[in-house]
Amino acid sequence: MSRTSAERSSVLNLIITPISFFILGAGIVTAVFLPIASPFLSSVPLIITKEPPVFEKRVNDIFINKKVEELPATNELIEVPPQEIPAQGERYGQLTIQSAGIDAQLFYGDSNQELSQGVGTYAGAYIPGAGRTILLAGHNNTDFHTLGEVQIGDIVSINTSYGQYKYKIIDTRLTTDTDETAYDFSRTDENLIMYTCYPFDTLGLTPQRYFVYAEYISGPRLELVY
Amino acid sequence: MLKAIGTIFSYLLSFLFCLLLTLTVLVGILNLTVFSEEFFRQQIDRSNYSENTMETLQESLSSYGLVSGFDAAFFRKAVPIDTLQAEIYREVGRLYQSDSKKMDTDQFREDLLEKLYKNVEERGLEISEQEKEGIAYLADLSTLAYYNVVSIPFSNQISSLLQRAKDIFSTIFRILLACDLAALIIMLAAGRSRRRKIDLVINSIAGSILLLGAPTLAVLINGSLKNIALSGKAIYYFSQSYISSAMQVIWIYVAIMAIAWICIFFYRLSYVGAKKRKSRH
Repeated sequence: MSRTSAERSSVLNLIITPISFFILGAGIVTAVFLPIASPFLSSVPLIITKEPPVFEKRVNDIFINKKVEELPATNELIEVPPQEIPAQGERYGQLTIQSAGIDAQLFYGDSNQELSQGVGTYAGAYIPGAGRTILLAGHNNTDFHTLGEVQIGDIVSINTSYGQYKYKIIDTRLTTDTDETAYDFSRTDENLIMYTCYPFDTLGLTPQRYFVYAEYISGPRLELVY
Repeated sequence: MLKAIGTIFSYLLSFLFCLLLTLTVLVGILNLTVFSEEFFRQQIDRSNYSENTMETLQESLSSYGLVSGFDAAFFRKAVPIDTLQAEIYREVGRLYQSDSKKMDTDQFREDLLEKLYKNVEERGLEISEQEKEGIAYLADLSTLAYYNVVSIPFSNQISSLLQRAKDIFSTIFRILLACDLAALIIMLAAGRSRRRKIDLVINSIAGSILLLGAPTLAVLINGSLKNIALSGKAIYYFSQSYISSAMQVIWIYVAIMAIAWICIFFYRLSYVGAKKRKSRH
């Protein structure tokens, strides 16, 4: 071998050898650590999402562009496409009790974020039209400040992204925040429960809750389409 | 035959040195990042952790305020950012200095209660015994919210683990440095010629650069670290800052090694050139 070709092969060696070291090293690391790391690696899809998380407070409103008068109001069975079914945090309707001057935006979910903007729907219960118990919460100092003024027989109107609903108030009750008999999610008829903190003008937090119960009068029954 | 065995042996030593060097750098990076309180604090500052935590805290407190007759403006002033930042630093200190003392929230509760009563007084409101209880309950819940956003979960357990791991890894680092030196000496002794010895060192360093740089480059190009499913704003930006800073430390090490590689490579070129000139004469 001539001196020049020997030098060329030695320079080539300086490229090939580190790459071989890298492949061999990576192989050893994989062989040694893969059995240990595989349980963690399998959970990677759970902790990595398709998009980065969004932290701006932007409320999705699926009700805003609806023409209420065009929404079904009778007791017919309707098919509701998935995009009209509210997701957590979305505004999906408007709640009105004229007799008490209540006119509030209706959200799905009842965390601090929803309740700071309007009336929240407890996600562990049902939405209007599902034929079960609907549990709505509101703050006593804001949207439900006058909830105590409602009378038995008053009408509650709920307009949602998929239909217009009416309920008639049948009862009220003062109880505590730990009283689980105040609501029944196993009922198979449509009924509405609204509650807020009591007394209405109190300072500080209170364990007392004011419940208002209403029965279903009208509004489309849901047949969910997936 | 003996020449071939000698060559294989020197390559094996070069590979071993490459692995040891990579491992030493990795352990060194661990010591500079995961086991460093200073690094943790830097990421707290870089990621605006205190400001983001304050935002979360104010959301909770304003919500309690809405149902208790205290407006959002009151709670915006109720907890100064300096108090929160100092408490976060104390929490980090507890994590790294093996201090088993739990966060003391009594002072926070007392201060808040005082501010709540002062606010009531300023508004000229008379309060009943029941309302006094309600305000005390509000202070309790606000203190709990404060504790939840400031405290580091399982900090006691993590703290003792960190202490133990820190000691173990600093010993490992020293052992690895000694092994590096031993491997380098044996490798240089095994090299047949001076040029061969230089080549072995160049190969080891280049292999180590590839082993360290390639995975971090892959992670960087992939960009999936931005998609970590963390719902808390403060912890999300903190993790982003932490990971990117750790990557930067790796890249600094890679750059140092690359500079070393270039220097040795040029030394090799000048050595080979000088040898050629000498042989021509």
